[in-house]
Amino acid sequence: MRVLSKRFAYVLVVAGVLTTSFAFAETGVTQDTIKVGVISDLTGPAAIGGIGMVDGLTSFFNELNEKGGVHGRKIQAIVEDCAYSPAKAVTAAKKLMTSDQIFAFVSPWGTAPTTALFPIAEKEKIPIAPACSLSTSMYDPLKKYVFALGTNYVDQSILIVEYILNDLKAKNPKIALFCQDDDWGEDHKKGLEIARKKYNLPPIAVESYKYDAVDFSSQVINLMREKPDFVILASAIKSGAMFLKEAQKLQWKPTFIGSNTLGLIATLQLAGELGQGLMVLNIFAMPDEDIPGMQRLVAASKKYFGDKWMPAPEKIHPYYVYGWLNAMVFAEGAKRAGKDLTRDGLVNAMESIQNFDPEGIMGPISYSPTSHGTPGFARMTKGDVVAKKFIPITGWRAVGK
Amino acid sequence: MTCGQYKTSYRDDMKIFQTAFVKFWLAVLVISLLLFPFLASRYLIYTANLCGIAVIGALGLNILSGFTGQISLGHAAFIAIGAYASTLLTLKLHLPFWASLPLGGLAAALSGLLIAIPCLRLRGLYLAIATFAFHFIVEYVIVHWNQLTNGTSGLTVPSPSVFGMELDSEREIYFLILCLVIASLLFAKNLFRTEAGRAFIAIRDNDLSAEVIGIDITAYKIRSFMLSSFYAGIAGGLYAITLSFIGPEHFTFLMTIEYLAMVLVGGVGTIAGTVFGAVFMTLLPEGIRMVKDAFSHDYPVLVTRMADLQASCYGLVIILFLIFEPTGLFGVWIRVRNYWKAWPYRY
Amino acid sequence: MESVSIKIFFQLVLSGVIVGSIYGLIALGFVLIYKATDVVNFAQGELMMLGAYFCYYLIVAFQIPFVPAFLMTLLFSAVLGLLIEFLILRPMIGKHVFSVIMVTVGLATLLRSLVGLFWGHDTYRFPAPFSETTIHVLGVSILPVELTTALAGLGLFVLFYLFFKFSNLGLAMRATAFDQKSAFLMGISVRKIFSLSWILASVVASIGGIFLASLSSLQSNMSMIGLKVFPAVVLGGMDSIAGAILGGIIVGLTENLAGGYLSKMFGSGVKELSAFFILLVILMIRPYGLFGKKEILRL
Repeated sequence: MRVLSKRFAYVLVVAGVLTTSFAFAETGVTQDTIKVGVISDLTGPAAIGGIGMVDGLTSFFNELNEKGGVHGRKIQAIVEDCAYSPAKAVTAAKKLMTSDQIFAFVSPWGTAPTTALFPIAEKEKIPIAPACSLSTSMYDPLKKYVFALGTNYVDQSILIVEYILNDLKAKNPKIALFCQDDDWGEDHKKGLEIARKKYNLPPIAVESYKYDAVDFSSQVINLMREKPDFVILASAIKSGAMFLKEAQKLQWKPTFIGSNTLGLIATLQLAGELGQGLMVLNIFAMPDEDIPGMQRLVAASKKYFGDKWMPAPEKIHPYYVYGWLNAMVFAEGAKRAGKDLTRDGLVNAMESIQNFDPEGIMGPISYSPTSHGTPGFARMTKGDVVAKKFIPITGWRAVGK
Repeated sequence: MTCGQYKTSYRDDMKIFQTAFVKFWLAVLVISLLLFPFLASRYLIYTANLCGIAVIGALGLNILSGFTGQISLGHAAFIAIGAYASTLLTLKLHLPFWASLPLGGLAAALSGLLIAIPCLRLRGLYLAIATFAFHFIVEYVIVHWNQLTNGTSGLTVPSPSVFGMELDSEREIYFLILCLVIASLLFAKNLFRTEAGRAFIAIRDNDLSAEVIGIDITAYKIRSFMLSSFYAGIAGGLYAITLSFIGPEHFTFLMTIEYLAMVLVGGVGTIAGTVFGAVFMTLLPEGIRMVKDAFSHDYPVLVTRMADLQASCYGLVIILFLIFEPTGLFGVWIRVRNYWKAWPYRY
Repeated sequence: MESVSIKIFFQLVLSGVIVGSIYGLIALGFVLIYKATDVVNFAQGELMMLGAYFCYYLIVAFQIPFVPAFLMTLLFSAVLGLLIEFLILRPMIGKHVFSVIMVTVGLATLLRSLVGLFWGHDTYRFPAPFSETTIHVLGVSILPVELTTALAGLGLFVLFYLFFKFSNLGLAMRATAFDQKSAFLMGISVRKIFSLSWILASVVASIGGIFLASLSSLQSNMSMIGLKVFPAVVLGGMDSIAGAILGGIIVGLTENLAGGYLSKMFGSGVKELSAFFILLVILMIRPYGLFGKKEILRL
């Protein structure tokens, strides 16, 4: 018995030493690789965006790796599916953290799954650099290890209202909102309330829908009753397109303005002729625009996915661009953190990013120790069904002070 | 080899673990379970925690559906109630975890009572559908009662403190879950040796006859519902501290389906089967994930499509199991055990 | 003002009837299976989705015009129903009802992920040949596709009602549903009846799917509507054809009217909740539904 326990004690000690010694090198970083974890919705309700985001992100990293990576290290992205379920996101995160030993989480997709990761990020000190979510809750309240980019939904609402007032010169417009019945919708409501108070507008009528609903006729009728001049569609493509069709059927013609989630060619396809001239607030550049960043993105996508997986420009939709941008910002942060890459080093490096221009794809990105989000830059575009794209009709603008 | 068993008292006859052989291997199991967290990676401990929670939850469902024959499609709702109740008690009333966990279970049990009463006269499919409706109502309440549940934003769950100790790591939570799993299993095993347990089984086998011979099926059905939801509530509370975060998207109908699969694949109406089923169904997605990881290096583009393949394997496994192994994993276990018991003879 | 409110009311009623027809079609398929085989089919929504996707595939990939594609889809669903019954349900005969339900749940998961594998998760526009011009009649507006959906629902209801009441095959199915052993003794091939019920259910589901896709769009989560089956069939009666369609329409009506008039008070989730609320109420006061047989044992 005594011999047995002594040997056993030796085994324990050795195991303990090994595991602790592992902890001294920065997790996920070796001589020639940086491992990052990507958690996205690949099979759930938001899969159209989730898959696109992963494609965009991996094509950026592929191109970067071919050029040598960051300080001689290639970035390896390990992708896990969470089907938009926060519980599965946590499981995926724990696996990535302990089994795959990733350095950081890059671009976890979706507000709800990403929010579920916050406790892990704070406790384990793993950066989420940056998150793929346009919710203000990503950086308000500020979390040391969480970053986000993109014009958040609150700012989008305000920008749309300012467009209505300044560009369309509407006097005292009555505005209605059609949104999803969750956080995303709440953000838009919040933004509209802020704008309403600021510009002294009449009350905003709101109707919401459940993400898997197929019939929106009662919502359309309810909003129609309020007789608004403008209807803001902050919805998924399917619900937005159906709303448009239902309104047309009832011969109701207010002015429709969509938030960034409608900025996909699929919207024009689904809405048919109703998409012609549809105004949508877009927060990223268009794939066909003559901007160096965009051209590089399109070239990379053709190279890595070829015609089989990326048969049409429609695949390069805003979420694809979002993934590409997130990857770009992470790489920039890693570059600035230097050869001696640590998690805290990455956080400091990202906070030092000032006026970083993502090659024209969106407005300049700046972070600081007190701000982990990007200011609201967006522009209004109009849908062109024949040309199958959205044409910008204003320049880039920020939320009015 | 069990031969020459010789009992001299009723007490000996009634023991759950009767032979020295069984006791020995049970001790080995317990010791390896105790040593496991010191030798395994954090991810494995986390997975083991999820298995433990699944065992408790599945046990609850098996008591209600497997032993009492009341088909319930609302299990996820009870788990949700337990999770939210214990988290809210900790957050708002600052109760320590060792108090809020059982109270959460109690909250779930009370809602079990609530749903049992209108369902007393329903059987089979109609009962299933009523519990299904209950699930949706609970989901609606969680999403829309913003002041209490924070709606879709969810709640961050603080680290539990048990009798002054704060349980911070997976390993510490593992030991808590291990104790509760052992307690639940022993309780359930004993339950079916008592009058109440046998009443449950009688209701499942033929409720009309049970009523005729004098079993108060109304009272026992209610008790079964309450006990089952208590288990579910405890599982929910543990789930909350394991994930450190809960939201309405955690407790979907899919969760109910997973638990039903555990009960069926493991073996309806058996305690050991519940354990097998819970462990198997919790580890199955992880196993498929490992296969996916092995292939993703050769076909990186397939990564995004692999997720669907995972889901289809899951569905296929359920179907194949139900067709070819109706007694579930428990049946497999019994066959294997009998083979070795009789070996080298055929029977 | 008066006429506007009445106009709105009628519009809500109309949309309710249309969406209710879709619910009714799914419920019809469900009842067909339950009536003949006592099986609760959780995969009805997925069968519907598969039919819609297959039709889309034929039209878009092979340039087949709508009507032939539609007919080919019906054939495909018939074969699919037959295969499912033969391979998956037949081995489960006699097993615990719990297991049978779970097998259909497993089937639903499998079908859903197969759709995701082959067609991805994008939202597609269904290429239906209906015109886009709205019809205005009696103050309400309706699209041709919506009118066709409602008529199809009604037409199928009449068809099946007559089938079950007057045809020999329909009678055989009802007999099998009533008492399998006696039907078998009377010379009815119970096995064939089982296959037939699955074939019919699958075909009806495909029709529902194609209409649903024409009304909204094609997306991999459209099978979620399969969950609405339960309020509809419980309301109508689990084993009643008339009840299925009627139940579906009532659920659609309730949802729309609740959405139109109650959402100010309870938030717009009330629309989905109202269906389940009815479900519970019906279960408590009249569990066999409006038209079902009074076969529930009350203890």
